[in-house]
Amino acid sequence: MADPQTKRIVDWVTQHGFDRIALQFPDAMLPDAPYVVARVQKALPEKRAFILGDSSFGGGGVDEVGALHYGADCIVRFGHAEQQRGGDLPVLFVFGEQKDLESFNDIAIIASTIRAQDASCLVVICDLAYQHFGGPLAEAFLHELGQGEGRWRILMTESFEEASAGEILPRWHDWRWGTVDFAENWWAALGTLTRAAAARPNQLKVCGRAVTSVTERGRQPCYEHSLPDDTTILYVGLPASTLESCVLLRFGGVCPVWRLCSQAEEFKLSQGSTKVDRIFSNSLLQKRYRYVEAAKGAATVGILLVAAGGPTTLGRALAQRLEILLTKGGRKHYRFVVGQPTQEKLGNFPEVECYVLLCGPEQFTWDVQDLMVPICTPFELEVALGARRWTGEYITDLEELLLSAPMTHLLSALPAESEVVVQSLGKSHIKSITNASTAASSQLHSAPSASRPPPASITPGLHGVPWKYSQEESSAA
Amino acid sequence: MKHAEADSGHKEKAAMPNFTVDQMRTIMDKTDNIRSMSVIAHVDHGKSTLTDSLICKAGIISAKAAGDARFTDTRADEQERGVTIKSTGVSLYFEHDEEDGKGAVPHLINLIDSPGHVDFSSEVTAALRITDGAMVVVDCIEGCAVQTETVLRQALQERVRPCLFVNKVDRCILELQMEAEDMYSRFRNAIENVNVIIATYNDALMGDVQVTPEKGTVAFGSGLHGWGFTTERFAKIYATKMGVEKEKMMQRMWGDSFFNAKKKVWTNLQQPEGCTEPLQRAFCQFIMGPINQLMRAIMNDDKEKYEKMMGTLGITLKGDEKSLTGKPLMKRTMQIWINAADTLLAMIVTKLPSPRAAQKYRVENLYEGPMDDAAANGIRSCDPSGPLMMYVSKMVPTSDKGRFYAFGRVFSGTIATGQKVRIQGPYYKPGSKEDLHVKNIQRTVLMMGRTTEQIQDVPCGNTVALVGVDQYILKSGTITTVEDAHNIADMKYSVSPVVKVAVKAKDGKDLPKLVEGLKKLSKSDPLVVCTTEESGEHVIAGCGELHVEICLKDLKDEYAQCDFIVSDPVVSYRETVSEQSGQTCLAKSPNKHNRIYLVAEPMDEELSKAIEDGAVGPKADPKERAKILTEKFDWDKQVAQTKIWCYGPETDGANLVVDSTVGVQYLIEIKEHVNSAFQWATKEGPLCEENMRGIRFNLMDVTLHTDAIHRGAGQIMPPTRRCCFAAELTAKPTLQEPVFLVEITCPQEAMSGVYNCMNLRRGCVFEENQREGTPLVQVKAHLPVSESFGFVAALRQATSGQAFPQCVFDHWENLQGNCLDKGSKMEELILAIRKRKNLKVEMPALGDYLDKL
Repeated sequence: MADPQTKRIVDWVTQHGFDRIALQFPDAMLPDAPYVVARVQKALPEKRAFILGDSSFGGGGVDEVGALHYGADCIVRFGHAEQQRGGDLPVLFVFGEQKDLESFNDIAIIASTIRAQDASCLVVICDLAYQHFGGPLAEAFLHELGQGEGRWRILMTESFEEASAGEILPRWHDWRWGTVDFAENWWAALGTLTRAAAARPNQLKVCGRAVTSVTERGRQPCYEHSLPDDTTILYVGLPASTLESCVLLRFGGVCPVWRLCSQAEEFKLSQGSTKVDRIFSNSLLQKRYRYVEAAKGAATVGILLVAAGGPTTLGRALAQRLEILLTKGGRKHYRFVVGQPTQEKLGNFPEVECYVLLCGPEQFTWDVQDLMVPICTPFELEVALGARRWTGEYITDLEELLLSAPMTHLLSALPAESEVVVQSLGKSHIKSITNASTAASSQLHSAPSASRPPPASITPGLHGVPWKYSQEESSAA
Repeated sequence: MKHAEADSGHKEKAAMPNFTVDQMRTIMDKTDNIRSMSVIAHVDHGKSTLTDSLICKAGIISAKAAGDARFTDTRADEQERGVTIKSTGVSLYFEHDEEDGKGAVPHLINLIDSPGHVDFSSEVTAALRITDGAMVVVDCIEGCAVQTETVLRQALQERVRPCLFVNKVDRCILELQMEAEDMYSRFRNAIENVNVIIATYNDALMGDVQVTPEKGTVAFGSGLHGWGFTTERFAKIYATKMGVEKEKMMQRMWGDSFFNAKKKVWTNLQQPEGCTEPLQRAFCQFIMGPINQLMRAIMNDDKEKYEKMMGTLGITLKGDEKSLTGKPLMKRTMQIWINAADTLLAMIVTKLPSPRAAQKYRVENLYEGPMDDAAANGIRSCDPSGPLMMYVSKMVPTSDKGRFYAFGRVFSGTIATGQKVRIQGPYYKPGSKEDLHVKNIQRTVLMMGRTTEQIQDVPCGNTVALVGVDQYILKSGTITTVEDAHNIADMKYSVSPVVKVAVKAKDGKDLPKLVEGLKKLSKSDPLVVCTTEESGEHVIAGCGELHVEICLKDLKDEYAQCDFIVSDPVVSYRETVSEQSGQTCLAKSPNKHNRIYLVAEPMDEELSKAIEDGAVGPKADPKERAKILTEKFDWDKQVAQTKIWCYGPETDGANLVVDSTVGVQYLIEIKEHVNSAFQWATKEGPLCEENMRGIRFNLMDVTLHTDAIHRGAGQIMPPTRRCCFAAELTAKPTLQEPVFLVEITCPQEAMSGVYNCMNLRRGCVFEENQREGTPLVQVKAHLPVSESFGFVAALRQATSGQAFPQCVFDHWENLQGNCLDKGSKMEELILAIRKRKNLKVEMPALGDYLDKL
């Protein structure tokens, strides 16, 4: 029981009283998996622990569907993982920590480099493997920058240790003010304005990570609507990681972003050979804008809901929203629920000209090349439909995407013309997409649903997972 | 669109045109009195200047400025550089007296001035499409140049009838102080050269189109000074004097025909018996002689002599003109005596065909559909009351940035403001809805050089610009009212966009602006191709450095209006194979139940070219195609007739899938999937994601799952693509690079510089022609496009500014060496391309694509 990692898992499981524990490992950690499972099993002899090793989830997704197939009631996710939850199962995250940090030799130099920028707030964002390093680093910065005249605010992001089922989406959410707790809504009768005033902003999130403010008195959660205008961001981690691109896409257009990493190939901060680089978002944005153009020209769009897509509730909410937007924009759309979007699955639908993949940035297939049809992010689709404007601020985070603009806003921003003429670059021809909203409304009235004959008979289909359909269960009982 | 209206730009209103729109509209109905022609020539041979003197006659610019104004160079940079970049149309009203007793008959002349620089050849193609005649301008000093040949060939292929204008005669007289006889031989040379080209590319249906002075299809003169003549003009004068018929006189005014003044007889011997001195050629004696004398007299300020001559020639000066001396006087005198506009317009009216005459033989070239449907009949008879058929050949930017006029020619019927028409793009297939838009014409306008004039409707045979349809047309298109009309054939260009630059927005925010700008740019130019690479880089491909430079300038100033970074120019390569695959390649579907066996083999360069030209392309008649394939390329008859599955990339490229399977069940079901995978594979090859070219893929065998659900598109497409890649990699893959044909005309002493420059850049000279009677040498060479960047400047430096090259894309050439050898030159090149494109910087491994049984 000496191993703190095993202890953490065992404590969490016993505390919540789970019975079937799925331990999900990324490919790199699979060799250690039996050893870990054996220890957990030894500590909890009356429970069932087992390994989930689907390599397609190496990117960081939580294999909820896989776990459900085996009747698990919780998942322990090892390694680098998607931070956003909101799925059907509670998850405990176990990150591999790199214990290599002792001192901050270069902190003064780094601080002075950053100070040269005209800003007054520093956000430290660490990649998961360096999360433990974030706190001490932020405090060191507080020491350097947060003193005396023109002092800086120091913020840092925290990672989630665990996630319970479906926790992320609040039931009632006002985009202007934040979450309202219905439990204490004695004032609800007083009207929306009061309710708005009573609402407290959510804890600020950056790239799906909660932000805390670092002060002399310790760390406090940061309840604000957005980052201050004059922010500088320091990203700690390897170059070209997913988190880096998320940070760059989201903030590269609005504030300076720095990357702290080691000069050597391996990331070893203890050696003191760190370097700070200013990083820019232009080439990333350029790469992504291609997909906006591709989505613009697509008359038929496939919405992909994937098993590895992380927060399924968010995905579903977004899918509904996009479907409305697509219909209004005169595009046909289909919804696909697949485990993993692969060539052979998507190849079967030649009429789909563009797919939109509803999943968090950590699993998004940013670099896929072998697919014939472009796969874009929901943000890109919204820009392509004209519901949003391309301002250089690229929203990767699904939750932020949902909250940053309500449906009514998007709808009002949609182009009003009844016909959209699309010219795409290259040798293709000009397409015109007729906006359905004007034409369809008249059709709806002309064909009232009452005139439709009732169905002759209705047979209920199977429901649930193939492992055990709900019908089978009842028949067996 | 409001803004475009404001543009109708009455900037030039000050100089009153001496005809009204109403007058023009009336004449438009008289199809037989319309002439549409383009002015084509090599760069700097004086097209725009000549056009000016014609426009001056029509009264749009003042007579004084003619020769300097370059009315048709509408853009600031054209005026600045003195080079035409875009072709510009203008309609002229001209009353021609046939002298057949009917008096002056009004004529409408639609004239298009085109650029001469090779980089803008596509503009010439667009101009030729909508005209029936072409005025070929040749500089009598430089003679026939490479671009003269290119444009003339294009004109003949479009069945456009040529006539010739020998320009810059004034330089022979004043600068080179040539004698009449020398000039004659100079002119004869130029005419002969042109006729050689015409003979090479002649089309039997057009009849005899050789140009000869005797027939009046050749004019001589000076565009700069605004004078010009045909033998007909002088024949007319002398015919009355000598009491001979005009036609007979014309014959005598050219060639070996001499007037023996003593005996007062015509002879065809230079020195007939009884003459002590050789006789002067009639052309020299009666035409060049007087011109020479008069011009020199004025330039030498020999007042007595020239006043006397003016008297006999019947030239009377008016008012201010009397006080002129020297050059202005010479210019004025010549303009009064033998006005270029009168001469040329008369030649145009009498020698070039009317739309009705021309469309009779052009219809076969123009129309893609059957020759007996309503549209074809309408075009053939050029019937204003027939069904509407119009071809939009180019998009002309309006003063409202980003909007365009759709400029083209009405071939049949009448187009009117507010009319509902079908706009058919080049991808339109009759019966389908693809690339088809049904819209109303907002307005119809006439293009008048820098200005436009509103007009209610325009009947066939005329050029017209449409307002409000620009967003439905990419570069060109057919506009019709006939439901089942086919397209008017799209234009074929003589050049191809092989020089590329990548542009990157400085600020990610500006990306939408940049992309919109690129879209507009690709509209504004007939040939420029703007694409987006996998890495998101935007690439502009043009025909040459100058072309790309102009495109970038337009993009910056007009269309995008944002800052962007431009990369160094690069060239596009093509992936190809040099021998048959060493093994039959196999790829399995993701579910392992289907197998595809492919072999790649190289195609003849000739065959690739024939496919690209369309002779053996997908649109060619299958029977004709099979015939060419079997007879010329030794294909098996059966294969040529039925086994070609498709062409690619873009369904018309020079790669083929040929079905070589025997007795495979369900094969036809997967044909579509194989074809679409093939399109994709040939578009981005395995070596460095360039287009493939000249590869024939033989589908050797296929094993398929019996259940249709297990051999869907998703199962067939990925392995087909991988198999194509594997087949390419096993067939000694290599790259093809584009090669320019370079033509340089320079003095003999600059030759060493030319050779030095060529040797440094892998160029090879294959032809050297001494220009007769001049110290000039014309050199023709092949130069890889990748070595041509900065070539113009380097050559200038090496020859102290005496040589100016014209580069035009000529062919693709295989690179030597084996790219799969480690450390080879070609591997280096491929890795460099991969790096630029943000791909993995390593050679593709065969194992990634090839499956084991």
